[in-house]
Amino acid sequence: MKLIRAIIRPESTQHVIDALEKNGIYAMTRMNVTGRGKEMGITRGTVRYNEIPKEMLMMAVPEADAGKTIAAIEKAARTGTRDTRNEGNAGDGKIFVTDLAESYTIRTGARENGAGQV
Amino acid sequence: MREIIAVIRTDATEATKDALESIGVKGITFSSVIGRGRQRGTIRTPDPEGTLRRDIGVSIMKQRNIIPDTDDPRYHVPVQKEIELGFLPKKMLTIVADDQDIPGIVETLIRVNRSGQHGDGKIFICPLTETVRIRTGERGSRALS
Repeated sequence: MKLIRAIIRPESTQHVIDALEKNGIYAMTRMNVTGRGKEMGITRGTVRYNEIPKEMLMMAVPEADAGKTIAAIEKAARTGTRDTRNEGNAGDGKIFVTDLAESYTIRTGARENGAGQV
Repeated sequence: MREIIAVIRTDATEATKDALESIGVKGITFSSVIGRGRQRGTIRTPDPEGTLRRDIGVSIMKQRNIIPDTDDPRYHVPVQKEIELGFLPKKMLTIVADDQDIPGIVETLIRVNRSGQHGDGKIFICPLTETVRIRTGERGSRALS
């Protein structure tokens, strides 16, 4: 199983959730975070904002579904695919994928075997 | 070393803290998050406005003349209403621990947070390669103790 953490623009959150639902992925955790990338934030006039509000989505998926999950997030979170902006802008976000050694459902106490959706 | 990420009910946070403290887990990071599971944030609750539904088996008992009257309220159960709330507030705990401590922590988290209802949460365990105590620069397991 894989743990996918995606840091995306807050305004693209709903598009990403819709795209994940189309792929059968409903279970996820959301949190508000702030961050910056290699551009070191943004400069507007003389003011520098070095921490920009972002939304982080966290979900656990079977190894077989990781590819389509990443592709769905990538497509939905990239700017310019739904609006008139140039496609792909700094600040669209990042997707991090880590191995998941074990995963448990607290309700049943059962260890997930990675076959179904977590 | 492993990283435990547990998403639990917000009202179970204090009990979880106490239980983890009693097994010697001191360092925990808490975050307020929102989340949903496979049920997409659906909760079941008695519907006060719904009409009472006859219990399963009442009609069979009536047919066999075991009970005379199926309208008797004693044989009724309240209607359950399903409400889809979407993302619900949850608490996320992050704990870093040595491999041998993981089973005990997982067992404690399940024991304290398990109510048997949907929404009890999930526990994720990820491999972790390095930990650094910033104050002293200690690495690995020494940074945890």
